[in-house]
Amino acid sequence: MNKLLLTMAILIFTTVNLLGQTKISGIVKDDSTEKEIYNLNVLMLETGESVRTDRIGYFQFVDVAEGTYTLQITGIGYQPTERIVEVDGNTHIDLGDLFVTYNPANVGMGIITLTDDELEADETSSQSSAGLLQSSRDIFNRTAAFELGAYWFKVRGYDNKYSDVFFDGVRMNKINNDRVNFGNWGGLNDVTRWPAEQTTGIDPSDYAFGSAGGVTYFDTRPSRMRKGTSLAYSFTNRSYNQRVLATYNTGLMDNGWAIMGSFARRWAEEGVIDGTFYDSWAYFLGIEKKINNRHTINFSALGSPTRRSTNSPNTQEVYDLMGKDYNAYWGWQDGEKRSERIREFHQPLFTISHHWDISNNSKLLTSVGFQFGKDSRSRLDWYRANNPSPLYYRNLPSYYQAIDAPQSKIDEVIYLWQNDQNYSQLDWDAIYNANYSRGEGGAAYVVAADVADDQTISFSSLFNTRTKSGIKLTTGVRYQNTKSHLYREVLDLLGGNHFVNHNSFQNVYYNVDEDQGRKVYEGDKYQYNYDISHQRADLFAQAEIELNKFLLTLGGKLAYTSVYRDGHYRHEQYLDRSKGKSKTYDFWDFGGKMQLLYELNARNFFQLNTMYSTFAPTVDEIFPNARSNDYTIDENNFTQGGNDLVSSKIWSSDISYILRAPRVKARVTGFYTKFMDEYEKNFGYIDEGQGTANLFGAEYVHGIDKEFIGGELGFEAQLSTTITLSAVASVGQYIYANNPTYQRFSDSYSINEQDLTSITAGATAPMTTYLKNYKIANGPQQGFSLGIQYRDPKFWWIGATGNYMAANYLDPAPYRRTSAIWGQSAGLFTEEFVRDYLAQEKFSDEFMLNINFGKTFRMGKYFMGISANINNVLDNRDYVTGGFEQTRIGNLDVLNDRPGYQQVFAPRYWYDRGRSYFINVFFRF
Amino acid sequence: MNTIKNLKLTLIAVLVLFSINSCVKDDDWSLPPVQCADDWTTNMTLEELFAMVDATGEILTFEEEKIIEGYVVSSDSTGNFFKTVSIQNSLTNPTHGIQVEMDRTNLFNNFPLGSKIKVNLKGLNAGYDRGMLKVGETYVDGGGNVRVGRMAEFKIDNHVVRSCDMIENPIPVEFDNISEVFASGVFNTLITIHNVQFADSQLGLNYAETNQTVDRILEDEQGNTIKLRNSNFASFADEQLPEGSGSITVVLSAYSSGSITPSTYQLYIRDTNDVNFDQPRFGDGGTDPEPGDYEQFACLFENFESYAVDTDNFNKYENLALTGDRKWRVTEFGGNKYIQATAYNASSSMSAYFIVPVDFTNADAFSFKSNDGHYNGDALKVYYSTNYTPGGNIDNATLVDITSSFNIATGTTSGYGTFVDSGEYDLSGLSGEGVIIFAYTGSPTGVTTTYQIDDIKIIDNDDANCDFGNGGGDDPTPPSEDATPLFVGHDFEDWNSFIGGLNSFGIKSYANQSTGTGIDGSSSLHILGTPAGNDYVFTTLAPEGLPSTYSKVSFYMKGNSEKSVSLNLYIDDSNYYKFNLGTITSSAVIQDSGNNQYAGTINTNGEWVLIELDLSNISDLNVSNTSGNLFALKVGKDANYDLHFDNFVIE
Repeated sequence: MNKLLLTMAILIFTTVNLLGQTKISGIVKDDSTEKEIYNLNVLMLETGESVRTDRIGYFQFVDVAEGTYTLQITGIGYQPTERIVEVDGNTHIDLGDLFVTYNPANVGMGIITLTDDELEADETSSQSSAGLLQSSRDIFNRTAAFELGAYWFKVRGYDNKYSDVFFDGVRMNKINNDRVNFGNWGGLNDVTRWPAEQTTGIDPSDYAFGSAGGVTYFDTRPSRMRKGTSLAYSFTNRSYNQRVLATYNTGLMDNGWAIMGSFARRWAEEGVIDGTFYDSWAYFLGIEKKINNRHTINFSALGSPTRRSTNSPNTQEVYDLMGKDYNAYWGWQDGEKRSERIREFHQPLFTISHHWDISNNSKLLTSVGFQFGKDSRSRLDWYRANNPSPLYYRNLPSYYQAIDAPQSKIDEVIYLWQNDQNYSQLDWDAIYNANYSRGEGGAAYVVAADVADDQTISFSSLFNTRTKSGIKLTTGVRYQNTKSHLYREVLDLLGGNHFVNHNSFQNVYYNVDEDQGRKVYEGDKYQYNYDISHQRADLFAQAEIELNKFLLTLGGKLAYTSVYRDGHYRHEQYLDRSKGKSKTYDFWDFGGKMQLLYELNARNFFQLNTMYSTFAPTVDEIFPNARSNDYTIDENNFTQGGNDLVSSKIWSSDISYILRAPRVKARVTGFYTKFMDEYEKNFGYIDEGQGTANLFGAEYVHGIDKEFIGGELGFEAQLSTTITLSAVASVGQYIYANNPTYQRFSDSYSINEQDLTSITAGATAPMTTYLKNYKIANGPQQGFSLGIQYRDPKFWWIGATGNYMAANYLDPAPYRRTSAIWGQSAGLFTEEFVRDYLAQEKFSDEFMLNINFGKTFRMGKYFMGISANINNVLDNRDYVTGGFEQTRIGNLDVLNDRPGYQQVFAPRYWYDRGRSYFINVFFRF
Repeated sequence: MNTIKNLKLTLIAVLVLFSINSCVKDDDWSLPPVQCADDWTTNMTLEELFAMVDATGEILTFEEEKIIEGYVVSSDSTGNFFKTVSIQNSLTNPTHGIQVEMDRTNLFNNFPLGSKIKVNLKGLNAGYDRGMLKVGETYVDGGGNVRVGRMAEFKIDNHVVRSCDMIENPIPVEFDNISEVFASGVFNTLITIHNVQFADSQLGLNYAETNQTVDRILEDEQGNTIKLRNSNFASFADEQLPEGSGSITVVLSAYSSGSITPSTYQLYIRDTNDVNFDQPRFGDGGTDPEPGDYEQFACLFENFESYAVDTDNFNKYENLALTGDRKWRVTEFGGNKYIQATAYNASSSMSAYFIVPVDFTNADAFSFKSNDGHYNGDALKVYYSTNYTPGGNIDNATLVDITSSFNIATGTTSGYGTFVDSGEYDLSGLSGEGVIIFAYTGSPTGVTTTYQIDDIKIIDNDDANCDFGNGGGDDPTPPSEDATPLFVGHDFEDWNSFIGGLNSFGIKSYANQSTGTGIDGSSSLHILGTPAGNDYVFTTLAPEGLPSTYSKVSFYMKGNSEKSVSLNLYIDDSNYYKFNLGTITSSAVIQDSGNNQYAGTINTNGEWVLIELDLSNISDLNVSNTSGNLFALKVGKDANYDLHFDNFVIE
């Protein structure tokens, strides 16, 4: 939006007569504290000239020509304020005190709060980038993020992987899936509240080429943040219950230093969902030294050591039995709820950046970054023992129904579910006792962790200049080198003696080069152990050119990615394709984008964006079964010499009309995006036959085309000085646009029958999966929000928003949509049945009401506020936020054999957690 | 306010905020107690349970808390027992044993060997099932009979628990021979039988077959036999039976629909540590052959079909590991067995000699088939020696390299090739006793090519019985002139009438009439494509005029495929015989088998081959019901097929 304003200003500037020369000055003060405010931005809309307020809140514009001007005052934490000034020959216009309102609705809400809930779902792609947009100045984006985003709505339906996030030039998207772990800076709201830049969709960015979902850039210089002390305490019933946040910032001191520290902790002994806990700490240190007017050096360190447990998605049957807060991942031990699934990560980031103002028109920003640390997810693992999960299909009442057990038995099972937590939850005592039974032998059960230990070094340099002819040029180069060590380790032997490094299902050793009797103890690695080396270099250039009433922005990128795997274990099934370095896979990517902005008049704008770009596949996409081997889709028996491992492509366009009248602001946008040659992967069991789950493996779909088409409307009207009405609507259709190729990579396939020592590529032959016109399951495809807010001059406010989410779909399982669905049973089912069976489930459309209110106080030098947000006030618990089909029923043979398995292996869902509150108290001085 | 003061205040505030005590559970957990049933009081002995069941002769249902106990003598840790635990009433000299039937795998994690368990019978059933007293729950079998089966899994934890006693292994009751077992063995107890060995007929076999639970015969010195029953799911299923004699420790069981006779006794081992056959065999004195014990062949056809997979010990031939420990061993692919050697992934360089004793005086010709895989250099040499006796010292022998006289498979750098004929080597110039040697020499860091040898033939022209023809052994004979069409349109000349003779499922789209490609330029059925499922390509109804007695079905086939073809011949619409072609490179006679398999590849090298389905033991095919199925052709999924078929006849 900054750019938009700037752009408009430049356009207007060209039409202004240069008649007189006048100075405009004023002092900006906080309307509650009446204290002068330092470092706010004052922009003269018509000229594009901007100045900053000094320590006494003073600003001035000199040599202003005659005309009417709009001054817009913006800054971190303040409501944007506008003031009209007429210049008609006076030599000095003193505007006196200009009061701006501290914007308490955003205080403490910041960026992370809401996405925490969504993080729970982070094992899937449903994580949202919506939270990133909350500080956007665009009414549509802000509302979509703040109101709809709380309900898993994603702007334009894009996966999080298409949003790029940078901290001081370091790209935070992970190499394995290009997604961002927001938890890496979780809780540091005082640092991340106001990103230096936030673009949406394919809008041009000042910092990077970006992808389809926008660029967010954080600049951690303390001098850019609020000066002083800030303390906050929050109380909520979401993933965590309590949060404390403390920040101190010296601001830019006379000696040129600025130092800021921020600490946060968020925790819950038990969240809303049964048996989940949350324990997250966060720290930030920023040290900035302004050497002189040209050079500034900044060092920052941030991290967020976090431990939290996750919750299980369940079938409707289980929710009906146990309620919507049921979670299968915990059980009683020591009189406490113990979870098997704990995510633990701490990946601190260190950056040093150099800001060099080469001249008034040119800047060079250079930074180096280093990030390292582990991200680990725990789970139970077992060896020659039974699946201990209460959700294991043979424990469900529907299983007993499927095997035609008498009703009395089914009732007994239901009784156990509802009355015996040794049955409905993990039975840790039984798990330990199974290990005791093993004696000196290998343990039956262990808690193991899948660990990714990353080290990333990063270098970037960005050069900005404005030519004499007014063209703004940006060029950037960025290099990032990541080494990721991935392995499984034993965290807890659970009373067992040791564990083994052997696959009992395939009867093979995970590492034939080690002693086959090796005993695995706590902290020891087993099963898989490999490194991924990933390098990426980007070149980015962009030009902004004024053309009469048009502003044209052209951008381009060139990127090189190089990836290889280096295995440490020689897997018995893949003797020559598991240990040592794989081939290096490299990808050259390019892209071009354009924005054309047309100003009809000062209030009406049209904007056209278009982009075509290619993106290298992620590490997960390159190596489908990386834990066992380094095969790719291009090198298996079936597509030998194939060339399917190619970069994905995005073709995206949008067109907007923007209205900026004094009391009404609106935007209407239509967009079309086509993703081509995409990949999707997930893990699961597949029944190809009679319900015996004979295969475990990665379901891998490639060559996917997706189409996203839709429209967005954002509208905000100032009904009176105190009442604001806002409305947003997003209507889209996001579908699979072709029938892509399906392959399964499974260790169950790897042994060549002919010679037990020789190995195939461990994949099925490519098959077509008929996904065309299925809806993409990425949150609701339609979202509507209507809100009204009353803001009293006495510094309190209240607002309410009605939100309506529609067109949300279940994720279809790809194997079922191949011709393998028929199995041997083609003639046994009617076409109608099969069509019905394969039809995509659409979740119900739901309405959710949100309320927020708060008040701010001033007590001498101290400023405090309290605010509360209540989401889903009506406690609507019927809203399915997402779900997926289980892969177990691979074909109709299974259903023919056991019709009831359709219930046993029904889809699993996540439900919205119902009414939630977030109360925040802050204190600043 | 100056900076220092501010900072102090902030620090104090931070401390206050963080001192809000909050304990989120960390990862330290103390060990849970051992779960055991201190509070369960046994109030019924196994003896009383037997008496109760015997008194009524029916399956009992318990409504009161009756708690029995016993010592666990079975274990499913190797997979030989399945969803059952045998318990006996005493650690020594047990008098009663039962099976506790539970619908759960890996029961050894709950009820390990030697643990004492208690079973609360309330809500459970007890009764005889196939001769054994079982505790579980009743179910109705396919024949409508109520039987005692497994208790539902959700009931196990509330009905069966370990006692708090320490593990104590029962002392097996010892028997000196099999007849003593018959005389006084107690079912579902642990016993040791001394002085037994596997019968001669079992030697070379594995504990179980790949897909089948089997009985292996044990014999004692008196000639009594008893069955050792082994599951194909057991981890030791593919281990070869030991050849010596000695003692075996087993759980004694039986299988019976009525009264139990010695012939229905079954023994189950827990693992192979229970088999202690460290003594030489008795009776036949079957020790390892001494030098000179080998028969010298003048006439031989060895296709290895009689050997178990992974066998590397051949009574008739010598299998030497000269360097390293790898030998030639029997391998199977697509239903065909052969011997194989490879240095792939060997721990060291290797040299393996497969030595065939030959009577050179009478033998006239020698040939074999070979195949190579993952070829990266030659590793196979063929020698003969006239001064070596099997079992002797090969270093002293004179080996004559005749490798270059043969056509040996080579150059298959990726995957495996197909077996190629060596061509005949003339032995008529040699005389005396000697050997032919297949010598494999390779190294894991050098040549690792896999070689496979099959169909070793030594031909004695003077022996009328020593003519193995082309295929060796069974070769199909062309159908006679008066053979009957197997179905309407059997020669595919009239496609519409062929289609008209199919059942309602019709024919798959990838199977079509192909003109000019059949036998003698006629039309053929052409299967071209990659089936997505294990498809029925077509199923024919029985035509009019089939013979009531028959000996074979014959047809011609040409082309190649990545998987093989399976054929059904129907008794009625739900019962049928399955014939699996397996790997086909030339004409073949096929026997029926247990289930449809598609393993194997077909490559006829562009020639028509004749396939004969042997019906000599079959007499109940549907030859009369013309609206019933008679014949179906099936193909495997996800494999490429390009096959022509013609002239299906029965006679």
